Amino acid sequence: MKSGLKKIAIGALLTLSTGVWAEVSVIAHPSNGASLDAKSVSKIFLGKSKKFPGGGAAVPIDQAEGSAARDEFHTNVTNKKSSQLKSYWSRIVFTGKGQPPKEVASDAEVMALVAKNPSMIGYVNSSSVNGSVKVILTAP
Amino acid sequence: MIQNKLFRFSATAALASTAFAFVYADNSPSYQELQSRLDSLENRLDDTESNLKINGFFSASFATHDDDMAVTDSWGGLSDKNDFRSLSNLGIQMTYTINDYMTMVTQLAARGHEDWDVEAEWAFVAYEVSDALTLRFGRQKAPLYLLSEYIEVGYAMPWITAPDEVYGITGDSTYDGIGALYTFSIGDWDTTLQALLANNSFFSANVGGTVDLNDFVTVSLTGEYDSWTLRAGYSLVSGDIPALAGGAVPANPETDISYVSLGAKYDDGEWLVMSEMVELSIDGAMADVKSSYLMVGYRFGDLMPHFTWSKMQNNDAGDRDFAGPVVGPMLDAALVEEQTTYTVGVRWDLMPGTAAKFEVSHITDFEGTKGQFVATAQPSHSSLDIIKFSLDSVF
Repeated sequence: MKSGLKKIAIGALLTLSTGVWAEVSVIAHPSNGASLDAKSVSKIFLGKSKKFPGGGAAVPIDQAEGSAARDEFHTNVTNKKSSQLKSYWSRIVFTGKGQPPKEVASDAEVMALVAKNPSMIGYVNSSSVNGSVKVILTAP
Repeated sequence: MIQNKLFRFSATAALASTAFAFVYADNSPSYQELQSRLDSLENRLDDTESNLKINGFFSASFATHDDDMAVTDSWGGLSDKNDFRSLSNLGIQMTYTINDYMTMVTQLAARGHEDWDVEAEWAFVAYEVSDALTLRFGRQKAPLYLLSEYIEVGYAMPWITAPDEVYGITGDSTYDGIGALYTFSIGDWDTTLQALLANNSFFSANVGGTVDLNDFVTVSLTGEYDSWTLRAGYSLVSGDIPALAGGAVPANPETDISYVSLGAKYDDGEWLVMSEMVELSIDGAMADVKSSYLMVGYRFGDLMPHFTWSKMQNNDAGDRDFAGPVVGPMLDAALVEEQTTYTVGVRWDLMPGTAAKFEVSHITDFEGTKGQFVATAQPSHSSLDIIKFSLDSVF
């Protein structure tokens, strides 16, 4: 009985922690044939490469500051915390070298944009993924 | 951004009220027709919004030091008074995407110590020749050292002020000319080769007159891999330097000045380590300078305590070429600058885009020179302490 309760408690804890640190999926248009690893995705989201490895233009879509998906994505893929990422982009922006990716407010908006545009690449909570987009990689 | 939204809101409201008026008029267009006009207007506003980006930054700072005789040469002349102005600044930048290949960047900045006079720090048109090569025409900052291009943006730096021994020796770093940025990969390293050919003229309190810099050429190579950034730079310029030390050294219209710099940065998200070495060589009577710094910081969550050692030395003692009569130690005192600074500080990232900072610097080892202070108001002690606070933001 006691150990049963313990199991439930541990189970609840695990569910909670996966709830907070949900897996994110990097998604692209179904027609996108590029094979991308975390490194090339990171380069696209940091403005260091403007094309997919296959050659087509790549337009990254970020999520709004403070969203769980954004924190999870950047912690695992670009390896930058939110304040580091802000410092990084302020060095790029104020030296006239570029602008950060367009930001949208929700998984649904990312899905809608990526499903319509072959050049776009985004990330969403894995539970939001459906057949309208192609999953390129998952993190963590 | 806010203005843009307001504009959009009022434009939408205006169109909506027009639509409302039309509904009651004869032969009025259908609701669907009005809806589609509204949609197309909103789309057009969306396009304008994405073509024009507005960004800004500010630093609200306080500084003071403990020597009633001394006034700093850089940093707007800090004295022992409570100074809320000298280290404060703000800037606003407009980035307009003209087409797929051309971008226009205008950055206007105002500094407290210049009475908040607004100046264009950056004003150029960039032309993207290819994905790897971009040319820039107009006003731009020279990539002299690691932080030179964003030295005004406090938020982008760990400190309130970058080490004066390295960043204080070059004066103004905004030039008018042609720049090129070339990006490529060497193995896993993301590499940028940057070059600038330009001119500039600025007032230097240090030499007490206007310095014209002609045919300024600077080249820098920066490599980034994982947590590492490595950088090397070389600049050569022909300077038109006015007479120094009350005419003891005559004006020299063609003084060759060169800067060689090496820098490294390690940032793994917890540790931040930065170091740079600079050698400034000036022909003639002015002293050559050798400067370096080492900074180490560690992030405990949003708090980063850091320590910095920085030093500048005269590099050609007894080997300087005096065009006029040699006047000895007095001239040396006016033209040679040596000092060492130990800085302890903390940066607190309050939220993404805003940081509060506090620093204490102990400046010493003047070796009989005025250091980085005004010749007529140099430290009366062998050392001096500066305290600084700032609130830095980018948006």
